[in-house]
Amino acid sequence: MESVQPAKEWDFKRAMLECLPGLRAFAVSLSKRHDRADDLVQDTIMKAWAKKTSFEPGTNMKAWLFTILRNEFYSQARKSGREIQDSDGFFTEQLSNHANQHGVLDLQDFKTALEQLPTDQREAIILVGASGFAYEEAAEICGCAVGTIKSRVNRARTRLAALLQITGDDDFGPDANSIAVTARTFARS
Amino acid sequence: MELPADNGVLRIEGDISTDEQIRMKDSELRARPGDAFAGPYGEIPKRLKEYYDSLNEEAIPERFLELLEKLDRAEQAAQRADMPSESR
Repeated sequence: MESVQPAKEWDFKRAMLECLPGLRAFAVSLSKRHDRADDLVQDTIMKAWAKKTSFEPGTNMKAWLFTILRNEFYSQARKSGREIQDSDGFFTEQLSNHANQHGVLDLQDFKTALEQLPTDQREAIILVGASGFAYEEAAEICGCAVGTIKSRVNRARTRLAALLQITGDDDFGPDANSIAVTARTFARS
Repeated sequence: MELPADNGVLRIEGDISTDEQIRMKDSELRARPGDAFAGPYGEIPKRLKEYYDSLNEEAIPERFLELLEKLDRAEQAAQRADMPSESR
């Protein structure tokens, strides 16, 4: 008989395979680029495999992999001197391609808006709003307080709403000009 | 206190953008705790999901599957070499 694989090994590989689509989606969201995202995923697979004994079966493998990928993303960015936008001093550019006049947002508009968010806000809203993590899990992945995640998500959605010109229920929602002016005002102050 | 305390945001020193919160309308701050996408932001989760789903549905590059297979085979080979007849 060929070598009998221990069940644990098989499960590990399979569990990883199941996480790959989501992991890759997170990588694209973080890095904004498919080629860089795929390199990140590849590095994450190798890192995760190398330290798989530190993974506790029964715990959340997706969260574990996301954490590794995120650390990898930030450490590569630091090494390459690539700038990571954070919230401080972040300048919100106006979308050249506004949500169109008919009030319909297409996917490209949304993607463009999302990419303009500072990285910390983008990852927070992706983890909580799209990847299906609870605030507590997202906080764990990002190594920060739950309140920090909540605040980043709040700021992300506010920024997205402004970029996409989604206004409130009343008639006093911000218009494109006032958003641009406030963004500049705050960017300079 | 001019900012409602029940907006689902824990106050963290130095992290909350008060500028931004002050600019936000009161109604926007009154989302239920834990409901980050209430009210006028209803459109955002839908778009976010659409965006994420479109990425999620992309085919996983073949090289990842090959890489996992390779890692798995290398490990098994190493295990056989290290411990010829032991289970551990």
